Amino acid sequence: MTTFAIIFGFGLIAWVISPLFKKSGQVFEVHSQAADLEDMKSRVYHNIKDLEFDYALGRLSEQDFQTIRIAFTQEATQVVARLEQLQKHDLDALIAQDLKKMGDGPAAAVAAGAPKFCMDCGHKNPAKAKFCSACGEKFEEI
Amino acid sequence: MSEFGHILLTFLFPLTLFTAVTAFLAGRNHRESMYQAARNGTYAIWIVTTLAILALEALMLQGDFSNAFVYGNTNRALPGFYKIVALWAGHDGSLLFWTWIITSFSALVVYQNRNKNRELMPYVILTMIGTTVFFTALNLFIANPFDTWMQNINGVMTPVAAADGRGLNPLLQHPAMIIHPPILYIGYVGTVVPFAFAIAALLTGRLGSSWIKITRRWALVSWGFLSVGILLGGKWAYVELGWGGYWAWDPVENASLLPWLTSTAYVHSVMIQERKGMLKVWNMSLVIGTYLLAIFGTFLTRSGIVSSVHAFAESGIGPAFAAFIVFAIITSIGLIFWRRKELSSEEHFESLVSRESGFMFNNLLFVLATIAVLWGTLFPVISEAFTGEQITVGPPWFNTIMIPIGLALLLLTGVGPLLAWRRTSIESLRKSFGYPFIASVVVLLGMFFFGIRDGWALGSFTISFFVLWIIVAEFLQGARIRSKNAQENILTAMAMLTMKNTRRYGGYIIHIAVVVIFMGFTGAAFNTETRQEVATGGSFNFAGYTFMCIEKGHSTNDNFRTDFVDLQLFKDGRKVDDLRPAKRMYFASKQPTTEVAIYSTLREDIYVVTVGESEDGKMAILQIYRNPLVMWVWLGSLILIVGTILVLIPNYREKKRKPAAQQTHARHEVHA
Repeated sequence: MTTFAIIFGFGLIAWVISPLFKKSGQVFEVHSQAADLEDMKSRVYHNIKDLEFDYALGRLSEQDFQTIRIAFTQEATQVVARLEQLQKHDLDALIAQDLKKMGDGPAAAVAAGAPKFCMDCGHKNPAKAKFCSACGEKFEEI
Repeated sequence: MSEFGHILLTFLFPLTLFTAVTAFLAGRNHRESMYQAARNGTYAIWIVTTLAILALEALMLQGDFSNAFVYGNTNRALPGFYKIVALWAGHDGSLLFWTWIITSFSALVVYQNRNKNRELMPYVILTMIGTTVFFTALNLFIANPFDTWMQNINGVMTPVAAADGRGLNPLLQHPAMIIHPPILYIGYVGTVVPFAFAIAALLTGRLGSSWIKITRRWALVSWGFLSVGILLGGKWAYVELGWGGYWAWDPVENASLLPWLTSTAYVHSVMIQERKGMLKVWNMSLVIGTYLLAIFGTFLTRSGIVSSVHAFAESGIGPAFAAFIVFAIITSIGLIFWRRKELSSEEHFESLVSRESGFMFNNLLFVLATIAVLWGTLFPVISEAFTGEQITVGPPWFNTIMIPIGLALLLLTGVGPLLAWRRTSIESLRKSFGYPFIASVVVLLGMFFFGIRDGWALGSFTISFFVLWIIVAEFLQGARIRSKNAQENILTAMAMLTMKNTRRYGGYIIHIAVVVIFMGFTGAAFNTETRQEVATGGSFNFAGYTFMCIEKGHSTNDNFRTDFVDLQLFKDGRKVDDLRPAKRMYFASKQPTTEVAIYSTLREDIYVVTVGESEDGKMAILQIYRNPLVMWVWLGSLILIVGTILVLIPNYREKKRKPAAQQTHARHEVHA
């Protein structure tokens, strides 16, 4: 019993502190602005639903209903637009990041269909050229 | 086994400290490794606490009377089941049980959020385990259930192995008492979760509605358990204490009511923050206040402070609790002050006649009630501290203040739902209040005509009727609109309506429960009682009933001796029930208990207690109460449970069948 208890105790301690010895002490992600906007979006949507419910049960005058609804719709439009902008911004950043990962060697330029410049005379050749049309220098296959 | 328990607690204390510190560091540095360690620590704490509970249970089942807690709370003849639940009967054991519940909740919260809310979680762990550090320290240093039973022999404290224990307090040997403490404790400890997220929100500056959304269910579950715990406590007092009632504004009862009042305020006011981003400081304060009052309630129950200021210092537990509560208050207020700018409102009130202002009135009343109950409960302590004399404020004081507040709140349950968010058209109010108002006035006049003269009772019944009308109309009106739109019959429409917005309609059902409970409370205005002496074969009349005494006798078992009176109850010449009021004398604890006999109907309870016997021993002396409408309190409690469960169920989402079918079809086409 005692031996078991001791082994169990040490095992438990080892398990609790083991993460501290992991090499990758990486930092975990902190909240994004998108989460805030999502929050605001769901709040506006709920408010619109509530408003429609109250109106359906005749608790609001039609005029109040219209004014408040317009205000909410505008708010929703703004939030959604900001959210989309943020997502687009995120996407742009993601694409840039991916491209960066691929490296900016000649391969990237070729892939994108960019023209080739001769290393010898500097003449501009089409992307698919194998030899320089001015001096006849061979382009290296990459 | 006692030694094993000691080792576990000694091990637990540094473990809680370690976990709290790593959680704090993880929050500061956002380090994954620290966060992992804090999570593992939380699970490990739960494992160790569970083992400690099991060790204490083993001691009690074995009957190891060398252990002070086992000696003080069990005895050999105690049924095994009561040996298990004796864990929360005694002081030290119940604190360990408290610790176990909070460690269980901590582990559950960590598990629930294992892939979510990473920014908040380290501080959530810090707050929950920080609270655990305090309770573990209490268990280890002040109230250790694994201590040996010592006796003062010739001035020296010597360990004694007693042959038998002193037994479980007989008053606690009752089914309601078995489930009442755990339910109340779950309610108390449940308040820690929203508090922990609130503190985490303050520390991280993530003060939007996310912490509120995450803890919505926790807050409601804890509210539900507190409600049921309080009502069960009332039921227990009613059937076990034998003084004819269920609520006496006793300090321990008040201790459970206080966090309930603030948490009820919170579940209402939080809706304003969810919709309008307002009242952030207020909601934060309510959550913090609820937590503090839950801790304070545990303290009040456990320290004996109200019976005397001196008990406070003597038990050793008092100063520790006081220090912890003061620390928590200062930290929370400091944090709110620090974040005051981020906590400012995003919008403001638009109209006095709106749903949000309805909630504001509701909150003011609840806070007023909290202050009144707190003041009344602590008044003996305050008066003793200043005048040296204990002055107790009794039920009349509480009733004078709480009945008007209660009725005002009841009225708001009717008015509130009819107010629209932001602003309400007066025209629509006139429309929706017209009929119920006229009907209520008719009911009021009717009751007056039939001879009810008690002003509060008239008010309470009238308001109850008014509120009930409005809630039922709400259901019907919603269902009518839905049945028209969705082509359903009215019952299906009502069920669908409820399932599609469980929060709104579950809330209404809870309001119905409150109305039913209030009607039960109001019955107390018409209580009557009598004292009768009766011998075997004798009979007497009271409140339209005839009581026949069949036998006055006694019986004995291992645990207690029973002196009973067998009665037959007749109404209009027809026998309606057999009643056996009794007195028990428990052998181990040498304590008597009263076994009440109750004949219960929707109309009234006939509540019979034996209070003694005549000098020659031939006549039994009975105290008989007629308590109208008490059953409504218990019925209301059941409705309240149903409503609370409903609120917790996620909204049902209707499947749009047609578009879904088209989609699958479309997908097939693509594949083809």
